[in-house]
Amino acid sequence: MSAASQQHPISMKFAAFGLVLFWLMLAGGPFLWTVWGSFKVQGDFFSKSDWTNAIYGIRTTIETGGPFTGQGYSGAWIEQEFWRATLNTFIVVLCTVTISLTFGTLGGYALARSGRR
Amino acid sequence: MPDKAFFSFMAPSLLAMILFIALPIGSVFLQSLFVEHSQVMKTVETCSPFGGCTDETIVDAEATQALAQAQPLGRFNGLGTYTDRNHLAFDDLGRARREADTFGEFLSAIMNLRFYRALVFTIAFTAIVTPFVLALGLVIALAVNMLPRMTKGPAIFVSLLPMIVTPLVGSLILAWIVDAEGILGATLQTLFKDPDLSLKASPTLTWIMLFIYGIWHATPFSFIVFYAGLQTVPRDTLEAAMIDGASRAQRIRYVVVPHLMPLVTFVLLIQLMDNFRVFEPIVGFSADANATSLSWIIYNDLRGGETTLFGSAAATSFLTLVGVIILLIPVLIRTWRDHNSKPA
Repeated sequence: MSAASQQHPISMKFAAFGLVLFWLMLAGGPFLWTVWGSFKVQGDFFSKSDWTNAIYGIRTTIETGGPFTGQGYSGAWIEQEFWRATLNTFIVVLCTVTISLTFGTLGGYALARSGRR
Repeated sequence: MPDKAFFSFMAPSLLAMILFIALPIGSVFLQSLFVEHSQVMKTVETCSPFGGCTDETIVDAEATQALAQAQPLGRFNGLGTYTDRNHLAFDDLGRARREADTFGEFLSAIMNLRFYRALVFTIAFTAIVTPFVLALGLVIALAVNMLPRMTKGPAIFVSLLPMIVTPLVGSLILAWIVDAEGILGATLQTLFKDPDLSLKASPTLTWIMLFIYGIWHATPFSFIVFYAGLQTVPRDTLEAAMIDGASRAQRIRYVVVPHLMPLVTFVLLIQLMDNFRVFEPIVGFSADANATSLSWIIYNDLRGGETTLFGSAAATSFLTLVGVIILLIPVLIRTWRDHNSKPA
């Protein structure tokens, strides 16, 4: 059961649905495209002749034997030492969150409990 | 709470603020008063067996290094860095005003000055992106709020993606798509039958592209804040408005938006600050030929040339800080007044 203020005419619902769908395509589309393209060789992802190459993986099949390849990932993770960057990031995140949360809660508590303005 | 307890609770935060905010700002200001040493020259006499002797002036590397070590801040320049050609450029500004006949000429003279070019882009970016982000965020929040319960979660997750990823990665992803060989860039070339069409070549298109990126990147933030706010809109007031015959638009205008007003101020404050510091998209889109921001010229001073121009970068940093403060003063005064007028 929903309150009267929560009920909407069907046309409004469709409009809202369409709007959200459009926004989600804008927000998520580029990521989906990049994730898909990350399993292709560069010749397919940046294919000037025919954009459908990126979908079917023509050059990827020629170069690696299959329509999908993990080359990009092994290249980034191992050859370019992305694992080291990831490790560094985790160290920074751990320290920053611990320190700022501790200091922040202490200070916030004091500010909230002090009666003075 | 006794004062002593209050200060011991606040001490870590205060210490961190002094250490990480006040001291760096002070140090940046100090550095901005100095410029790099000029290289020490010395005259040496070189003699060749047949041609006789000539005097030559060369850089004395040893003495230059010794000087840099003795005075690491550099040579004292006072406020000279602020007024030089690469910053506020008072001389050039005055000359442009005297010599330019039309406002257009004056404007193009300004756009040749590094600092003002960056300032104009930064202000344009802030002024265009911020209102769009606020409006779109509100509209999307209202629309998502009307979705059936099942679809709300996934919709929120996907909506947040542009904000969650690092700005650099986000701008790279978009840059790859609009690249001349990327899917959208190549498609546009085919559509307009112009194989040389490139969004990066035209200043106007580059600016528009960066604005769109800015809106795309920041809308999730205002969306999620407004969406959270929508959950607390009082239903009684909404229903009372309905009984009074308020239409849907009127309910949003007179009940929902006033309820969200504190959040609008908050998002506005954060967005003004964030957009004024725009930097990553310029690097991600490699757009620095057509668009530079204040943050970008600071970076360029530090990493762009052979010598690191600490003094110049510090002066620009300080001017940026002043810009942010000027931008925020109206919002801050408003917030302060609201805060004080509230009954305790």
